[in-house]
Amino acid sequence: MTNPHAAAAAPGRTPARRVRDVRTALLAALLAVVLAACSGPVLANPPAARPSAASRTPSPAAPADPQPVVLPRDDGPHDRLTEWWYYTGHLASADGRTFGFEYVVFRAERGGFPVSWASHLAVTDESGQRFAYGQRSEVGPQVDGSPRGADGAPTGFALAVAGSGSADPAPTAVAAGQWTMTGSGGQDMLSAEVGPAEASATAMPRGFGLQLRLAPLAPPALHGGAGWIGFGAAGGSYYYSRTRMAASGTIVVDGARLAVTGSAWFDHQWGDFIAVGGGGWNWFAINLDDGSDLMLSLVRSADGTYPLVYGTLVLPDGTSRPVARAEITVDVLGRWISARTGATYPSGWRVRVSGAGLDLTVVPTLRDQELDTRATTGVVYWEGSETVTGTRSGRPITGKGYVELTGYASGLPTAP
Amino acid sequence: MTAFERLGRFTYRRRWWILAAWALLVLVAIPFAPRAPGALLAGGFSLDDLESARARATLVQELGVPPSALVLVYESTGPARAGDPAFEAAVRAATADVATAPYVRGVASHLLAPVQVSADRRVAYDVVLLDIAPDDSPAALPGIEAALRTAPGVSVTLAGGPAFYGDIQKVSEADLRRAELVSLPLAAIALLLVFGSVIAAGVPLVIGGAAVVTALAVIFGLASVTPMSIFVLNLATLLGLGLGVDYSLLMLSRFREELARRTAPGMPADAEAVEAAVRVTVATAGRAVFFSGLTVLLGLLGLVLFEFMILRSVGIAGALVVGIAVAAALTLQPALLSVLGSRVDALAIRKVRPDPGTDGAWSRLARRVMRHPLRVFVPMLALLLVLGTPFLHVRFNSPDATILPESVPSRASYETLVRNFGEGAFAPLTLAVRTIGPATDPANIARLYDYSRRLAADPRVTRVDSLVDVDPRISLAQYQLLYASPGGPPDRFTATALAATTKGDLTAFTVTTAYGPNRDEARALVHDLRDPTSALAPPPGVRVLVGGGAADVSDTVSRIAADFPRTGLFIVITTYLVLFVFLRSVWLPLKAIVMNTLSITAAFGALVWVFQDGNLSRLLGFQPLGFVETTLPVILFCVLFGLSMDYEVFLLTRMKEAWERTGDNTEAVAQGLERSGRIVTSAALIVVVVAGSFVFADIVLIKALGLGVALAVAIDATIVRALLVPATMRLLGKWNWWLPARLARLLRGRLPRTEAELEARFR
Repeated sequence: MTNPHAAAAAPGRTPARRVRDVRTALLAALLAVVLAACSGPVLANPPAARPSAASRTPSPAAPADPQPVVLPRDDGPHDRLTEWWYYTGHLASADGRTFGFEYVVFRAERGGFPVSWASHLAVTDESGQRFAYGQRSEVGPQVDGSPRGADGAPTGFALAVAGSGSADPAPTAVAAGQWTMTGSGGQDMLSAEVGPAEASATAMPRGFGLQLRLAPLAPPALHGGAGWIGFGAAGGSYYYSRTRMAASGTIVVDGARLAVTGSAWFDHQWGDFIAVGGGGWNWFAINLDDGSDLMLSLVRSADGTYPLVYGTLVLPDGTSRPVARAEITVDVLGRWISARTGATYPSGWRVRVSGAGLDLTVVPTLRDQELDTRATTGVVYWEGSETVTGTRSGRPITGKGYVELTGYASGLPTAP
Repeated sequence: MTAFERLGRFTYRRRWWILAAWALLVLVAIPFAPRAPGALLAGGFSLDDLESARARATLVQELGVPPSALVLVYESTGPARAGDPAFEAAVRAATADVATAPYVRGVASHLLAPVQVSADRRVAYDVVLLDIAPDDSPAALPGIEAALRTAPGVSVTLAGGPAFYGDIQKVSEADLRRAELVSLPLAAIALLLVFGSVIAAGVPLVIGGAAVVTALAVIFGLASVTPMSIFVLNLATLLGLGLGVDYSLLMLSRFREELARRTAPGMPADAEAVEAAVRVTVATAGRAVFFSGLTVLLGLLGLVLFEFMILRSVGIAGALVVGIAVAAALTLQPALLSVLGSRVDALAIRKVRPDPGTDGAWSRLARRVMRHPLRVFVPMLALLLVLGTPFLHVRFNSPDATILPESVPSRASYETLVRNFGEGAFAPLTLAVRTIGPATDPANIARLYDYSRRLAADPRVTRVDSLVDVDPRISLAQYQLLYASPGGPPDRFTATALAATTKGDLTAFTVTTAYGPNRDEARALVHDLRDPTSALAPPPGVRVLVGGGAADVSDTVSRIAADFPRTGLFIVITTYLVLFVFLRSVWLPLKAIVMNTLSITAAFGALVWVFQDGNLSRLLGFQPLGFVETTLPVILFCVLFGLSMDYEVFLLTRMKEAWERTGDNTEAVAQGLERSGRIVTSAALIVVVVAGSFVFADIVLIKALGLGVALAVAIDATIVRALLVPATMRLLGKWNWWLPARLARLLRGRLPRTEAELEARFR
């Protein structure tokens, strides 16, 4: 039987045929869809490229501390959490005026941060009873231009800090002139100057600075015997000093350039340590007129006790020996309160080293030698030149010294 | 007289008043409608009570973590590389004023973070920390853009959430303009073909246009009261134009039919005939439009049950648009027709018979199908199910920059970043870690140290940042010493890390993974972090809220999935009830719901096949996402359920009318299909054209929405209507029309009259 509607709609084709055609078409469509779904993408753009999961490169295993200190290789920088090159010294001009100075470069590595640098410069005009300091900070590897040998290991250090006196990583106005510090095997050069623009608020408003050439007068002293000081849970530090270096050059005091000579003390410390004692430390660097030198470090805990006390005695012949804790007695003779920060510092000490027969009185040449360096290292500390008098085995002796006091500015970060 | 008859009479008698009122409304709306895009927000994918949101809120409120951030991407265009003085000087020159731009809290410079510099040093980025909520963050863009300067040797572009959101707003507006440009002429051509006259074709466009303009103005007003999503813009236009034209088409078609019945051929209609035609049109087609609109409205109201701003606002706006489209069809349109009368056929380009008759191609097709219903039903059912099968491997995720084309600046910048730094770097997990007592207590430091090391040991984790992750060389004992220091850590870096991450008993961990937030591995990591039995569980006494990156995505996807059944049930039940009232049948509404579900299933399958799997992406001009954005199927389901039901309502109306006239199920189906055939085809064609024009959108979500609607409607108007419905109706036989006698007695007089009763009255 034919369907009249279908016949009318499609002359010449039977309804049954049309139904079959429709069915065939539908089945073909169905098959096409199934095939399309089963086969690869149709007319597809490639998916957005996504880098494969970044594989983590394991950190190279650091050699276990302590390793031997090798110079001049270890004069150069180390990939450690903390490192510093620290000069203090005593200078005199031809007219008899005396000066103290501190010049230091700090290096810090902290995980995700780039290597960071800070530098402090302080000049004490002992005769004029003036003290001025400046600071710099810079972020990035460009500070380090240290020379390296064929094996890639450093053969000394060459540091140039050009940043401003703040922690701003991208200073809009870079302070005039770089502060440089270079050296290898004790043949060191220091150059740092704070111009009038930066120095206007200091006691030397027309500027201050130094350009010094240093040469060693004694072999380096490895503290702790081998140049390693263990801080217990706080880690440890490699530490050596050139306690007596001849210094000559120019000092700038309130804009006046004076030719000077004198001596300098160089400390170099590095290691994976940050906090050494919760309460700060007192550090003494004493050059005695008999040619011997004494370093003492008294590390305080937060409760005021001294869990770590160590020192090194360098004899006139250049040999050195660690000073045992039991040999050391340090009594505070006075106090000084900072009008700026409110911190109360010990000021004047009686230092006794029984094994060396030393009984010394250490007195600041100027009471206010406080540095507020929160802008660069986040700390307030006191670092100043000292006069030293006393006896060695009952015989009078004199000398000069530098003392560093940290952790006394309460409520403020306490250590570089 | 029914309410619809009264409305019809009213619209005729007060036609000028109604026209004036609508003209006034549209005139008032015109200045506000274009301002709608500016009032809409790009976000809305989070909820305050989600764990990820609580983590973010805790860190923002208690630690002062900036609520949003923008990325400045620096690309070397010369020989200088990041770190070189020339490059850094150029960056400084280009960005010097950014730090002082509005909403900027600070800039995390690449100079302080080597991880923000690419391996080849050609690309670096800074993170601009913003003091503004993520959804509002595009407001920070003008200030920052104005602060940027050009500098030789380096190109500076913006990336990150605010830039992404800002570009979505811009591109959405462009998409809308393009869609309107495509859809309006095509809809006009389709209407011309359907009605054959310029005036008749113009009427639906006027109705649709009035609905859209009014709706956009109301949305602008609403957006000042409650946050509304930018996606409302395109959806409102799509629905307003599509449904406005659709409803108008139906009404106009019926009007022409009624007018032709009351007028001698070739003669103009008199006032009495026009009034009667208007009254009958509103009472019959108007009633169908009302119930159709109601089903669409209910579907969209289902979205309001979600708490997510994007869904809720789309629901509110959608319901609003549908309401306005129905109102325009029931008031403006009859008023317009009352004025036009026979002139509705003026400027004819071809002759179109107003009355479709009862015996044509559609009825013949229906009869053919019904002769072997199973042979049609089974393959068609299989076809739709097969079309739906890709949905079985759907991966739900949240939108990221990849929903924008690569030509859009924030997408291009994002690609640069991903190429150079990996996609995980820009969506880290942020953990709000709560200890018992101060986080810096030695015992807590020990717990946190252990926790951090366990996290870092997971192969999916590339980096952990926290107060115990300043440097891998710092030992637990050193951290304990550092944080035990009375004046704070005596180390500038550790002090900085502590200040940035910790306050009291709360500390923040940032866990960077190798995977983007939409990757399965990242979401599995989130799951493990929250699983108290996993190796990544927090230590005893430590509570952790996991947020950021994949946690945001995971929480959004899970909550939408959890809330969807409630919405689905609401839509299904209310739709059933509306159809039950309208059709007075137990099984027909159920059948309609099943048919709807089938076409939606097929559309969903296509959605996955195209947008997730990437098929036809070359044709449609997008890059495969590899996932389906979570809100999309939800919005589609709610939109399509109502929209598809539209055609079921029109179709079943005519079938029921024929059934009540003939008592012959087969004849009723054939006649119903025939009488509604042309108009449903035209209506569907217009929706397909309007929705299909959104396929040209640049935003993949809008493209998917347009394609989804177009496909579902196309499937509905063809496979479902022409083949499946007749086959099913034939298979169900008299059960189609079954209503328990007791229920029928109960309902008689209480429910609105059926279409057939009305038909009988007016004939």
